[in-house]
Amino acid sequence: MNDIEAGLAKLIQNGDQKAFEILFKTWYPRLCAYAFNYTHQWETAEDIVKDFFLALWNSRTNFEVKTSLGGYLLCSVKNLCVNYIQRDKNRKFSLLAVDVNQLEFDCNEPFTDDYLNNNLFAHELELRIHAEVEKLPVQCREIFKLSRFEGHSHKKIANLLNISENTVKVQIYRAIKTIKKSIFSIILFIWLFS
Amino acid sequence: MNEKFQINKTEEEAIVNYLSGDFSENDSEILNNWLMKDQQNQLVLNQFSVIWQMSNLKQAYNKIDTHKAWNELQNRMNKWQGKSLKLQWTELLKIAAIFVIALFLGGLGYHFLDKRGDIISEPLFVEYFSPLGSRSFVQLADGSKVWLNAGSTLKYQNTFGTINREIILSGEAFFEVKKNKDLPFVVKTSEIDVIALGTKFNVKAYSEEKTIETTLIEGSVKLESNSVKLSDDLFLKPNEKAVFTKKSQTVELTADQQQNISQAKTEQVKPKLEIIQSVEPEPIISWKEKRWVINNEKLGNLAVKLERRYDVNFIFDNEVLKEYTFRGTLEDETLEQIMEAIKLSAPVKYVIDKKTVYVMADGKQMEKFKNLMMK
Repeated sequence: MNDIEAGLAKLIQNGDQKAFEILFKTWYPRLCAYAFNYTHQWETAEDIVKDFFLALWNSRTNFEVKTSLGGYLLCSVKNLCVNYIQRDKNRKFSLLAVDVNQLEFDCNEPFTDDYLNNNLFAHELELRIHAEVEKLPVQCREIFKLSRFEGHSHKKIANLLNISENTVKVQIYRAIKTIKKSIFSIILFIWLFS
Repeated sequence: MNEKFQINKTEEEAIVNYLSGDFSENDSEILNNWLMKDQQNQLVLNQFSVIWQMSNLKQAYNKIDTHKAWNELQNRMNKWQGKSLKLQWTELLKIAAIFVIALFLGGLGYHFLDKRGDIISEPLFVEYFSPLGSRSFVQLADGSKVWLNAGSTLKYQNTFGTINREIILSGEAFFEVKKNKDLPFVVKTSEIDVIALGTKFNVKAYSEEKTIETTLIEGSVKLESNSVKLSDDLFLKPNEKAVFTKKSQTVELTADQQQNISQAKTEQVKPKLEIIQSVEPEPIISWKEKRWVINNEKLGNLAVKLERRYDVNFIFDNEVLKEYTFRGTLEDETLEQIMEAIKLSAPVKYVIDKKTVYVMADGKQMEKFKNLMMK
């Protein structure tokens, strides 16, 4: 945890609302985006994150972060999402052993923990992804943007572009694979030197 | 680095389905097997997840209003801040819990005596009752929150949240409904149903009152009536209040002495619905707070609210007195303090005798106030 984060945590512990506001405003959209990957509904994602912050405030005297603030926030929100999904009977398949594994992984693995720990780096990564998206082949790029930037379902994209849902999925996989290839070395680089 | 990296078409599809959250048990199996094959695969999946998540941040910034969320959170933070308030709520909760347990056991006992067995198949009713003079807070199984005003009853089946989200209300309550598009949240009153998906609204449906009032604070709600045909899609917008005049009205003998006693009990009138736009929500919903806002309220109406809040009866010496109008904010005052404040701003005297408040005209003051009288 860096000095700014440690200072922020200390202030929040002492009940400083302004410090809490800074923490909230810095992390709220990102945590919502993160929760959205589990809930697939913005309202639910927002509710979970808001409830989390409220609980954090109510137990602020115990607010203590040992390693990284970002890792702590993400991990907590993820736990809440997993609880939420487990409670939701209509979606029993959407939680795998993978998710539970990944939960542990996210909390322990420095790679995932640190890339988001540093705000600047997260921003850098986001810009980098956007730059890589622009380099993708036309159809692949269009599909990826519709899916990730616009939030359309595979089915809707298939209808829009008059292609099969399978093609949509193949193109999305290709996009992620290409992006991963070109940015992974950078991730590793920054991780080593941060 | 990916020399060993192996993946086939079905596995690729399973990954895309997993990331987008739309995947089957079959995908789940494929993915788990793939992860077992090589330790490296977990890392790869993780990197995919990172890209997947980071790439929808832009969408989040468009969809999410951080400022609004902060304001909302701040309100909730302050609500729970005061220690005394916290204590008060917990105490109320304890009282409410006793009622629930008693009713639940009663229901259970009734079941055993009456039918013996067959307990699971028949739905049981859970009932919350907020006695006169107190308010309670209830969190329902689906995460929705309900503030129950004095003298109000909330009833629902133990199947609530599984096959439906229906509750029966008599009295006044404020709802903060958890979003669930598949199961609409339905508040049933004697003549009106309020259907919500995920919103905040207030419903006032005391059996002794002539109207049922629904005020929407956030989101949208739909109104339906079982006594009269309303237009098909009657939706309220935020800060709108629907005032429904009930078909069957109970006229209480004691409360309305001046009214024609011969038509007591129930009388049938033509029901009607009126929608008032851009109402100020605070005076309507502030009953649930320690701070209580009164805006242009006639003493007659105020007395009804005070009767519930302090578990007392008001007796007016003269009906005209009910027409004085008040506004102001009350913060945790005692009944005596409120009556003193009323005395200062209107030519009335009062006597509190146990649970009865007598309100009389103050002759000396009357002259001074004469030109200010309503009516």
